[in-house]
Amino acid sequence: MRKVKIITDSCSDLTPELLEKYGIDYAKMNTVLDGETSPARLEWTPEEVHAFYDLMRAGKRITTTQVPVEEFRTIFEKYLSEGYDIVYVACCSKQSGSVNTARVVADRMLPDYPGAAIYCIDALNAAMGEGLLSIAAAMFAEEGLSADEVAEKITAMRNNVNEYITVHSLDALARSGRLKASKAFIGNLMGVKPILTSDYYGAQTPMKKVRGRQNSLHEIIALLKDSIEETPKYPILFCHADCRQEEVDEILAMIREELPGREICVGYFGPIIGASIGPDAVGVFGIGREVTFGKDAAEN
Amino acid sequence: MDTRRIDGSLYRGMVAAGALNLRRHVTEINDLNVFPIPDGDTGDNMLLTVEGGANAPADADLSSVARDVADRMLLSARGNSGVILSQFFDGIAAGLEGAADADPARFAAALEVGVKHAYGAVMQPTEGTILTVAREASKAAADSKADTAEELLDAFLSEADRSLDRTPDLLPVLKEAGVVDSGGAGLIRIAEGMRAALDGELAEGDLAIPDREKRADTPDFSRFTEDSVLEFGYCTELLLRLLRAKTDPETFDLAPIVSYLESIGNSVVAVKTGTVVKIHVHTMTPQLVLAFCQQYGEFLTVKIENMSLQHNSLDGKTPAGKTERKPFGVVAVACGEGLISMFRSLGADEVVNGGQSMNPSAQDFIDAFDRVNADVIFVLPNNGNVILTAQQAAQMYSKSDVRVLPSKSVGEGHSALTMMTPDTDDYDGMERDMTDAMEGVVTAGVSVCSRDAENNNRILYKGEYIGFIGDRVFSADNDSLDAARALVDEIDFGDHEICILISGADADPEEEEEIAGYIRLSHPGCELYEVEGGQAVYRYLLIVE
Repeated sequence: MRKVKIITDSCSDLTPELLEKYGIDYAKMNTVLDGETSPARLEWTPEEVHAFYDLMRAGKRITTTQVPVEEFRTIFEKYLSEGYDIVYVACCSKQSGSVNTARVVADRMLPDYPGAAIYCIDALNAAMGEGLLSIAAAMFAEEGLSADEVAEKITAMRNNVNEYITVHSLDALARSGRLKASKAFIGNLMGVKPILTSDYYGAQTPMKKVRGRQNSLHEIIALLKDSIEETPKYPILFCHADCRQEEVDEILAMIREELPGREICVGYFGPIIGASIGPDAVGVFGIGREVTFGKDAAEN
Repeated sequence: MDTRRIDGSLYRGMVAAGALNLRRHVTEINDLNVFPIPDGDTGDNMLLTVEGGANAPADADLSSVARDVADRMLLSARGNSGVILSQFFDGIAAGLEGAADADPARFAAALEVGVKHAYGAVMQPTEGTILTVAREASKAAADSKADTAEELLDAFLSEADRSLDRTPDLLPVLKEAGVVDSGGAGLIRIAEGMRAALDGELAEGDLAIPDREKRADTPDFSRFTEDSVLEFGYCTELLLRLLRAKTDPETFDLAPIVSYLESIGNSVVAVKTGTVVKIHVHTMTPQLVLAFCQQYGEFLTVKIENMSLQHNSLDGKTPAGKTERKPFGVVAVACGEGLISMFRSLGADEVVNGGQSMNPSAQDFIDAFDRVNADVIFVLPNNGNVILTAQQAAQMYSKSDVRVLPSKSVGEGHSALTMMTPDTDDYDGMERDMTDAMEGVVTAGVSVCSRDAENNNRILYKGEYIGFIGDRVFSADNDSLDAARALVDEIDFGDHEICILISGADADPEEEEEIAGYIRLSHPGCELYEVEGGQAVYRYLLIVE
């Protein structure tokens, strides 16, 4: 049986430790600041993170571009030539067009690698939700499943990824065009914090409002606990957009108290997600119950 | 004079005289306000309510005049006392149903039906208010077995006076403030006027067109520009003195004027008192109104207003019928440009201007409901004295499922609206969420004390700044900043994380920064937001939620 390589992209927000631990590689998207393009690396230092979000706090707009064709070609070529089949766990197609580019690139390359396969999977999630699905894929590969089996398993699992994010304001996300929300969630809500989730179709959707930061932090953890309590096999991922260390510690303690004994990994919202979600966002992710939020609403 | 039967024209004259007498005493009623801040005063509210009724056209048939008076009062009702008053007259009309005229016994019975309706207007009737005065006076009137209307009203009035004097014993808040109930006092002034009408004491010049309605507004001329099209026409009101040289003032018949006005306009009201005719009409061609009326006399006053400028269109919305039907909408009450736009930006489809300095009428709400044009409408009255009016309007409105959320303050309304999640068709759940969101919200404020008073065991002096939470005063100082700081010290921030400082029309920006700094310093865990509310009366409002 052919070896299986799990690839994701800059949106997955996996930490260098997690990438290494699960043997996951990622295709880089780009950020654009003042006309200057740079690759969105997940191996960034706390100083770089802080500088990045401080730019946003100061009102700088940072835009992003999807994974370039060349980047896909390079990364696919690397693993195909080493004899791997590839499962690419891609950022939700509602947030990025990368998955479609990847499919086109894969279709062009595969004839040169007889017997090889590349599966490009729309994760229906972004940020660490996408990262978590990549980890699940790596775990299946580790168990000895073939690339098509891994692809099938995680495709079935996409709606079991639970994401709960709280932000101070949705304005940045709304400006980026990556938000599905009515006007009641946009604008100066004066202390009211929206709770975002990735809905049944993968759209970033505010699901409720909570008054005050503390309450909103409690709320996302309560929501997560309720969704994933019965599936302890998978780690809990927690990422933030340059929050103060005291707050990070406090959130960690809250998660440990509510979900004792679980593996928790802490990281940052990476440059791509960060550029639209904005500073001080906090997200928690886990694999658990099927997400049905927004299921009845017509897909758009 | 012995009046043994009351007919339609007499009744209308009595109501008009009642309104007139209340107008004479309106300041005195306003001063009975328990809370020494001129916000939504009882006298003004009752006057605007009863004047709405007094605008009913004359008719000999008592039953139809009484109904018309009541319907108009229901629409113009403002404030709690106004709503109760309008329901009292609604009951009287119900009691006079089918009567071309009434003897004192029938009229006394109608008063008692009025009392029932008045009590029915409020969920939890409070004794020591206009309700008690109306009930006890009406009972005394019935017990008097009077043969004449004069005796009947005398009996009503003498018991009403005694009843009013007892109100402080029934309602501790009155006793503390050292006043009698203002609504009860207003009712007595109306009844006195009605009694005086029996003696023919209604002076004609006193029918002057009420201008109070407009006092808070300066018309915004930018609403009608060089490219505008006259859409609403002109609200045209005039007082005409009938002249002997042109007609017979005594026997003059209004019918030709009414039918002419109806041919060139709508909302026609024409009332003749003595030799003065009062006209009200909405028309595209006011010059025709003037030309026609001048055939019979000369003008005492004329007022012509382009209705595009009128205050109901303050928020610049399209008129009724121009918007598409929505599944749901929100009507909020606010005053001050900043607060109005804050509520709009939070998702209110319509903001009814008013709340503090001027309570909106049921009609104002009904107009707003029309403009929202939605299947379900949530209403945020944002003032304890506006809730009842909103509920009355909701009851009268059949085109939508109108739900009044009992927000007693700007803070509660703000809180409810920010927590609204409209992406649902579960309106019961939404109503629950919004109502829950009001829980525990603190609304405090700084204002100028309008008279010497006592509140919350404090002696307050006219002209000093008072800081209050709800309707209790917690600080008083000649210096506004000190009053504000002392108020902040009194607020229980508890678990609250959010504080919103709203500056009023007469706020001082530097002082506001001082207050903001003080809050940041004393409550570092709180997120502070500053809003330029521009509201009248309240120099600062402070919402803690």
